[in-house]
Amino acid sequence: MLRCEDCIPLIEEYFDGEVDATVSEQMSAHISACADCAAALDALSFESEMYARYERGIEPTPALWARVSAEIARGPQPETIAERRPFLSRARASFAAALGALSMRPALASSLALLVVGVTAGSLWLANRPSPTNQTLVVATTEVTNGADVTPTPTGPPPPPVPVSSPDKVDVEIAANSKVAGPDSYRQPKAGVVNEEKIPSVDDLLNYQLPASINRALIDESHAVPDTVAQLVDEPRAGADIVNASAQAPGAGDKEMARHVEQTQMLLRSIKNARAGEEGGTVNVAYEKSLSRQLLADNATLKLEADVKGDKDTKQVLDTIEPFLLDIANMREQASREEVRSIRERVKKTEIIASLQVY
Amino acid sequence: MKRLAMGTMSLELGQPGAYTGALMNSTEELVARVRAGDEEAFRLIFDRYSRPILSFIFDMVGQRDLAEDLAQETFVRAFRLLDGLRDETKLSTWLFSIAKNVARESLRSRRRDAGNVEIDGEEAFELHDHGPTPAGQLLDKELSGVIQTALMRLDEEKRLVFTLKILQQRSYEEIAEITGFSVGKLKTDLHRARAEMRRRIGPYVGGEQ
Repeated sequence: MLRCEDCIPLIEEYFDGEVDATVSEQMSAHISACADCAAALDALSFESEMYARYERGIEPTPALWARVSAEIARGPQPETIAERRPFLSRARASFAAALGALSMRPALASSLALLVVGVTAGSLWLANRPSPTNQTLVVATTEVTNGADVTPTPTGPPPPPVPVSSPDKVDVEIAANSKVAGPDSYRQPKAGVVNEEKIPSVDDLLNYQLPASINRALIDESHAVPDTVAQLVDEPRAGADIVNASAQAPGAGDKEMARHVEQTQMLLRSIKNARAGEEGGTVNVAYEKSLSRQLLADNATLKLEADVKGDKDTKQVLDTIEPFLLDIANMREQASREEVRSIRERVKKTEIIASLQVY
Repeated sequence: MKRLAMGTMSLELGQPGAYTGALMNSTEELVARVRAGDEEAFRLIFDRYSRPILSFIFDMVGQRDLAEDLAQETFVRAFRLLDGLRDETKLSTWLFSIAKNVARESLRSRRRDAGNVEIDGEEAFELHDHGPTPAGQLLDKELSGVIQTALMRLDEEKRLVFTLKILQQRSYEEIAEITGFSVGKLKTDLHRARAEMRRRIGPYVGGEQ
């Protein structure tokens, strides 16, 4: 005879008909004599009846079969040029997907931006530093100085000034500068001088004088020209500009944001003016729903970009828009008057259209 | 393959006797006929399985329009992959496997495209319309809304197992085949899903059950 502690762990499997015949017989015998286990089984029966009453309100329609048969008859179709998304759009979606998690962690996004700036500046520092053929660093060993602190002193003539050029020529210039000394001469130690390659410390990197070409790339109306990496790192906006400098023209993000806000305004106006049709008092919001889904995806991308730039104002606008987009995206295509009225009331109450107009 | 006769099929669906053809043929016969080029046989397969497949997908994604799109994709894939079906007696399990893949791909894609929807803790799913209904139907209508809301709050794997077992009445063995989960895992997931659903629906039905 089974005991309750043997029966209860198996009661769901028993109810589901998933225990073998022998165990099933033993459990039946126990349950018929045990009020607690019988109650547990009754609870499962009650739940089962409840779930049997679950109505989804969805049935296969002739239209569904028509779509299936049409698609089958059409055969597998290669992606046409017209269907392809623009390269930048795909790249942006991939970037947003890869960094999607960062939208939850602004601090991490900022750190990543700073890291990119640091690594870029570090690479420039290494590539642009004076050639060892013209300049050597005298590094005193502990034997010579008896442990006294010795600051590396540059000897030889000062490095030639970096020519001013456009930002897109920086890489070419760096490559050219690196070539002056050549790999062999760079590695050859001179007699009597300890010619060690010094690994730059964090201070070195922060105090590194930015080449004029980089400075020019950072000049805009709202920011002073940074002289050192330290100044650059202190200004997240400037750092973000560097990260984005090669990816897009200045103002491209603003244009996208403006277009996004404009489309959102149109969407909200459309919902505000939506009226019930003749059929069953429902409102056809299929277009608004579809547009809202697109805007929701754009909103996520723009929020990510605003986070990286540290642009709190833009992010606040996007945060305000998001709940409306979400609600409209989740409406049914044939929405009830009540659904539409609820969103319309919120649009009016929050005066969001007017706020977006100001933006 | 010849073009499917859409027009006549559309008219038959939903009319009395529409499913008779589907019920009179075994799945092995239907699969053999489709493989032999009989387009009508695939319509019979659709008639037989479209309802459970559509409701299963709807339970997974929670949106009517999306569920229809994904059901379409499921049947189109099934038609194109039918030659890969090894055991014709398991057509149903095989169709559910395809539907599961299609639904999960869509859920992943949605998470990628609108990650912020879930980050904010609000999952994108639609609730049933709670508008005026005849008094006798009101309770079931509300109950269905509560069940669907609770279902959508289960995590994806628990929802999958719960839907297949409780709502689609599949056996553990079939669920293991459809999902690729071990029987041990699906038992654990099912137990937890039941408990979560009980906890969320309990207050509505007036007790812990």
